[in-house]
Amino acid sequence: MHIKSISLILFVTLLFTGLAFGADPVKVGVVYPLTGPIAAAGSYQKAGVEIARDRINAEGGILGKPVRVFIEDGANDPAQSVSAAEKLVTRDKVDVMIAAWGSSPTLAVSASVTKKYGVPHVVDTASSGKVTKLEGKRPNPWLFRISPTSQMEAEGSEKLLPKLGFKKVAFMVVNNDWGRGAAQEFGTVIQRTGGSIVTQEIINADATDFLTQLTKIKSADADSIIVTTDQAQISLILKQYKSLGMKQKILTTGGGIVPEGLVALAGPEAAEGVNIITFFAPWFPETTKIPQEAKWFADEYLKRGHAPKGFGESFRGYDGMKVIKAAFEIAKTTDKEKVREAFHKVDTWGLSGHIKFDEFGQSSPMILIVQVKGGKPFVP
Amino acid sequence: MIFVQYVINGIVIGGAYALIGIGLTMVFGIMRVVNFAHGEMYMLGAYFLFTFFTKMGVNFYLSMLLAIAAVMGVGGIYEKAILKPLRRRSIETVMLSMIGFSLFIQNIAMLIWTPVPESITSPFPLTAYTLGGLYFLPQRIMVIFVALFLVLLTHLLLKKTKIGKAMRATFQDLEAASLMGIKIDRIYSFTFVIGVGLAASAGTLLGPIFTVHPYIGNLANLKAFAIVIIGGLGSFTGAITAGFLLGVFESLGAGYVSSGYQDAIGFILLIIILIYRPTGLFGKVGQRR
Repeated sequence: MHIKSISLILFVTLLFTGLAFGADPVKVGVVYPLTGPIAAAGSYQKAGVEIARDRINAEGGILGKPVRVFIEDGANDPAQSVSAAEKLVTRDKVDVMIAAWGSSPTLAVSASVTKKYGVPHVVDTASSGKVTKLEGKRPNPWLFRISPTSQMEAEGSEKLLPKLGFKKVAFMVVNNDWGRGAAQEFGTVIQRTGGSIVTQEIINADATDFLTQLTKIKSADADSIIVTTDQAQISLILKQYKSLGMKQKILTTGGGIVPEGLVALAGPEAAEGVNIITFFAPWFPETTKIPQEAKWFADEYLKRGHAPKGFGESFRGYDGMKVIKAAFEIAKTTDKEKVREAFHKVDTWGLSGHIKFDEFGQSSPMILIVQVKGGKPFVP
Repeated sequence: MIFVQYVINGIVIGGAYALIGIGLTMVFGIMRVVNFAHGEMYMLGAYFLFTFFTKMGVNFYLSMLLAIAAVMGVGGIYEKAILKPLRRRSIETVMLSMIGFSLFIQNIAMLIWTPVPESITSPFPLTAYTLGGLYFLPQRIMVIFVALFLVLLTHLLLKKTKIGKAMRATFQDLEAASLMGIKIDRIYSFTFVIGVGLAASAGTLLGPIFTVHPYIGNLANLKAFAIVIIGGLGSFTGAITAGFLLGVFESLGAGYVSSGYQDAIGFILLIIILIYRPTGLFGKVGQRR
């Protein structure tokens, strides 16, 4: 009897909240890695999506309708991400998608779900050039990317690299599209600025021991190392680098890395002096065009009990939701074709800079380099 | 000189590999159970150390012992509750239950500790000692000594104690051992608990060197199976030899060939050995009944 009355109360409450907001919600489908080796990154971004959803709903929703988010686990695996996205489209009938973290699952979801079913698809993480430009053509007219490509990152740091003393560079990159692509793009920039590439070490995504690679870099007489992989692995590299007494300058790419994370995982000693490419600097809200919102977001994120080491990923989910809201409001409808057209007219500011798409559906966010100094972020 | 450094790096990692390997090979040899949750026990060992030492501030060595004991407790409960009732069932049933158990532990770890990677603070200095141009990391020196000590301890347990004798008897002939009055159920429980304890100890040793997250067991599982197969199923000496061999080969391969192939090299070694010695380095022909 108790259960009955409780469920009745619940039902009535749900009914009223539904009514108060008007019936049909705008459905956003999200595919992130929530299990597997990079589940942490997915969970940080999920936090960003939830903060954005709550803010949008508190401000009256999208087109007067509440926003409902359906989050599925893609484990950063192409097959699992495709079936998760397929489920969101066919069963939950989502109006728009944010998917699917890494470059490989994103390419898979783009080719076999969002393009096939014609669903607007926001990419907030993947950085492989192939996502928006394949052999000079746009592979999926439904796809819009707010994260930068590796090429944009490399070119964005071109001026600063020689100044920071990146001349004889060693690469340590993770063995996938992202890592190999970053090595190629940064390699081009290094050579253009008169530097040389000493060695290129490709590491496996789940590797934990890098003494051998570091020993090799040390004896190869490099003056700097460019590292492309996730925060946990970079922390391991830093710890082992420090214990070998190495002095090479370090730059991490890809965003997702924050001083707090390196200090927490590698220790303040090993994190000191590391240069980090980031697209959102919550410690310097004035670097964005929307400083109040940036500050509010950082505070809200911490207030909800999320770890500061997730700052480098969390903003992606927030910006993804923000661009969706902007597009729907231009379209003034949830009709998918109209929304797709509206994405091209979006011109707004996110936590990671200006969001405006070119003819390939690619936006150009800001690219910043911060340095760890005294365990704190610092702009060199 | 750099060659020697690669070999040293390999030996240190090899010590931990050997530790993971002997736990798995023991459980397989004596109980005929393929423990797919072995890597998860390694992961739990690291997480318990994180909880006791980094979170609660208990003494480091005491935390290690507590962590190993806690994992042994988990293993003991599993053995009593699931493996014992399945004793007479087919090998597939037991295997499926082990796979289920490993998924269960992974997801429980995600609930308790979240997927956010954690770092166990190390009580050892970070900077390496240099000796004749070679680097020795304090934490890793500790790892290799503790690993060797535990391997020796397990060896003595098997060779010199009464229960060790009973374990070897069970390994050689289950029926005869049972007829001689050996309580097979007790031997099984004991073996399983020791086996997971060894995995947990490897977790507590490597945890402070690496980061801890709910999926570190996957890699440990992969390595443990390669070691057990290279060494010969159920062979104690084989697991130790294979552990060191794998560590050194991986390090040399990453140093001289390409680090992208570091993990592949272990499996190339595995294939070569299986071609020439299908029962592994120390496996006996016809050992399986």
